[in-house]
Amino acid sequence: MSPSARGAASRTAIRAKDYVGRFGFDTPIAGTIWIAGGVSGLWGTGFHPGTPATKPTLQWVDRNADGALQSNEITVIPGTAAVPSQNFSRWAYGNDLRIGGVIPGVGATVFSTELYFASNLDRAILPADPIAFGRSYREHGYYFAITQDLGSHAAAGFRYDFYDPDSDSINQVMGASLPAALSYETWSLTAALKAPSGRLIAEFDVNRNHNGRDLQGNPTNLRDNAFTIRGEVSF
Amino acid sequence: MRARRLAFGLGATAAVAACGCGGADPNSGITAYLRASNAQFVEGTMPASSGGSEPAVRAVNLINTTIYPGLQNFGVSGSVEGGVSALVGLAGDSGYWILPAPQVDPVNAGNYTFATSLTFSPLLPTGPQTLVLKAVDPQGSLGPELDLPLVAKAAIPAGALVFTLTWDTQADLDLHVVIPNTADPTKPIEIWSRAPVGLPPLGPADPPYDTATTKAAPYLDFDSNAACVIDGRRQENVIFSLPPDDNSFVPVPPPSGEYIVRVDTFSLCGQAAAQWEVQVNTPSGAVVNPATWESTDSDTRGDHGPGAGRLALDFQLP
Repeated sequence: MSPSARGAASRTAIRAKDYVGRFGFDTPIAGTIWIAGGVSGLWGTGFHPGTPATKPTLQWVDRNADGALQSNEITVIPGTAAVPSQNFSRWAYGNDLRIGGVIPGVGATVFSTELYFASNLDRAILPADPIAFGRSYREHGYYFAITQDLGSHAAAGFRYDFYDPDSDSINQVMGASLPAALSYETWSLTAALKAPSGRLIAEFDVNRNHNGRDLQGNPTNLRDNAFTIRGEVSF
Repeated sequence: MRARRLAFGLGATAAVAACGCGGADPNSGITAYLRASNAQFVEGTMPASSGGSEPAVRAVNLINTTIYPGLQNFGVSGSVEGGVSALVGLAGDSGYWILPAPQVDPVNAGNYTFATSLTFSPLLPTGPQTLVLKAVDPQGSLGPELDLPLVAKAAIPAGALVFTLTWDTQADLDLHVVIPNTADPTKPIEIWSRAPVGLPPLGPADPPYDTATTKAAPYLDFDSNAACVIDGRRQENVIFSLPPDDNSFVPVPPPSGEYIVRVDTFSLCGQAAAQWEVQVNTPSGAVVNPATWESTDSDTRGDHGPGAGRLALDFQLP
């Protein structure tokens, strides 16, 4: 372990390590066609911080702003016992595959795909804290993409990805708990101009999610399509 | 081999709402006068009622009917009868909000409850406002409109002499104003959150002040962000009242003498700092130049009782 890694470990709330591994292959099949892929996994421990004990307090909030005390403006905030911190397990495994080849006179073609399953591992879309939430999160997702060089100065690509941060999510309607998807999907079309010193990339993303609410209050897509132009230079 | 690659956006990332993509409005509602938590904003006027008596909004609970520009955490709850959601908005606003009502009302059969915290824009016009609510049933039909009158008060209230403390972050600051005591000049009166009415303290054998005396005295109008319960107002005023229109009481005029204004940083509530300003106004204008300062963590130390706080102003009123 490097000194910097030891330093990072000493600053984390727990000393448990996460283990990450991958077994893969990358080999030509015939001529200019090649294939690569593998299986990967992560096993580790997450941390849920505890809370200190609090004393009971009496709180006055002058709700009607009249400067005088009314009985309904007093709130008793009961004391709470300290809650210890807890750990939880988290894991993920995935499979990935890439197949590539060169079409003479056109350029390289690469097809990529990946499928993964996880538990309590999300740290971005829906951060998973199963201790606070009361149950574990089951996450899964996949994508497939294809990129095609169009000569030496252009390229195009397509990608579809799907991610569900909580496969057991529900929506309450009139008191009833109904299964409701919380998934995210993206269809991406991209095109690029290439030069030895850089690239100019245009990308159109059709995003689908369940972050909005319709008139009846049910989850629906929150419009989030995007068009991005990005420039890259090499030096 | 490319050693480094520098990517730069060309400022051309744009949300595209066309192409037949259905879905909810991505507008955050930041330009609306009213904002609601855990709700979906819809730009435009609220749809018209479908004509029936149901679904209907019932049992709305408001914590207050007086609001202020910039007010946060204004709780609203209620239930809808035969509905699945409620629409809430201010009359004349640029949009409205969809509030899901998923929970069974344990008191009223067939009702489902909703709850939210409202925030009012700092640009909210003062004067009468109307909070509009409508219920929506599972088929999307809208019930009758329920109008709740609110009053948006001015940021700085009117008064014969008004001390105003404002600050910029969600910290708990307290205004302390020491005013002359005409009855006993050796014991000036300090007005602050735990002594919000400017009357001399009573002795054990003294009778309590009557209502007219209390009404006529200068007072602290609000303890904003008290104990870090964030209300978003970030303003406290000590007010010598003007005579009311109905002459129901005769307010105490501001006595001549020395006035001391202090700002106590009770807690920064997790904020790094709080920049504050103290103004003293009369109907004819400012009495002294405003005082400004930035409270930091060191200002939270020490006692927070009478006499606490950093000196902001010390002036004589003729």
